[in-house]
Amino acid sequence: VIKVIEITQGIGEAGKSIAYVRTRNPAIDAEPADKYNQWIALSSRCMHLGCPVRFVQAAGRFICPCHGGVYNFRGLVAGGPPVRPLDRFYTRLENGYVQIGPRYSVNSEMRRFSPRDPGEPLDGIGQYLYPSRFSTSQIPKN
Amino acid sequence: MPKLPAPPLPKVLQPRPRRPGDQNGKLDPLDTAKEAGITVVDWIDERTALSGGLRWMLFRKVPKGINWFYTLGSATMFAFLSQAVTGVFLAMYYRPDATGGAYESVRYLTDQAFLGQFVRGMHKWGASVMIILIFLHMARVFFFGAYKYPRELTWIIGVVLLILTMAMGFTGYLLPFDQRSYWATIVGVNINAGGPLIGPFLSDFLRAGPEFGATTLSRFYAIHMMLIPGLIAALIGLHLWLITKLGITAPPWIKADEPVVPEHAEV
Repeated sequence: VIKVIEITQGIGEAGKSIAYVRTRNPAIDAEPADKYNQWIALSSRCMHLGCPVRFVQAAGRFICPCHGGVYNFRGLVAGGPPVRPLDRFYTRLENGYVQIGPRYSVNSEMRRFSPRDPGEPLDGIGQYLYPSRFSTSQIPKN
Repeated sequence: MPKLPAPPLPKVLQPRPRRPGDQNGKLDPLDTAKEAGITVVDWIDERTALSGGLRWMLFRKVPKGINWFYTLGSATMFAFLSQAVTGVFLAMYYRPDATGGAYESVRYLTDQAFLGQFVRGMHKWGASVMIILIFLHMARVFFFGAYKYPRELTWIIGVVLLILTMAMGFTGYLLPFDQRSYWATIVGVNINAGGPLIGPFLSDFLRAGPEFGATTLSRFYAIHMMLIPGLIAALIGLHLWLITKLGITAPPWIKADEPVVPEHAEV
């Protein structure tokens, strides 16, 4: 399911972002399950330089129009310049509705980080070279 | 203070001395106007002594062998002045309103306003012309060796001017606020974010927050039309002052083998 969410209010199309939402599939989603990833919500923001990726049905992959970044169905980098998998949003089931929460970033092992800008690798030394920003450093704990 | 050399006016422009008995010693209206002008200029000059500085700036010795390549610096400065003038007129119509007003105001300016498309075109293409001229000027200075002692500081200020001009290009690109400028700025900000350690904070500063928002546009507009133009104008002034103070270099193929004539020598 493709869901358009408004990140910045009041500036029209420019403030909107797209989340690709699907149910968690234990057969392909290797990361441990918790209450925030029963539904997987992938951000459309390319992790190379921030262009919008789109899901190409024929390829079964997310493809970025700007510089050729390719991600697989899980959002892991399948080719091109991106430095980490697609960002995700926290999700939860509330009164029969799936709610989409704040953005978080992941490294190639699907470890969660506070949201980082595109182009900032989070593997190895990357997580120290690109520290969390004051404005977005809070991750909900429970 | 030593007397500065008089401007080397050609013969035609030099005033002819008045003959005795002309118009019975009376001034005709043209002469009166001339006298009035001279009086006003003298009044200002007596209080500011500006004419000395002006002569120091404009009437100075230049080495043999200078050529058209030496005009690239002035050409860059006039490109900047053209950008400043056209930018003022664009600012009369532009609204930094991210909810659609920015795009609409640019569309109005381009399609409706008298000569708006022309002025916007001048500003747009002038920006590219300025960058090209800067690099040509830089190449001239580099290949003529004009950056060497004692002119290193002039070179350094020039490099700062180049960076500021590029920052003008970056901030100005967002202002039309169409798809192209929006996504190009997203990419540009994220390139800044890629710098280690300070990158994340740099991108937050440019965006005015963690996400691209309505204040990003007004921030870029303020930087583009207030902060950087003032800095560029001030640094151009400093650049010109150093050029005048240190004099310009001869081309490298001119040999310094002429006998040195002392300044103000009576020939």
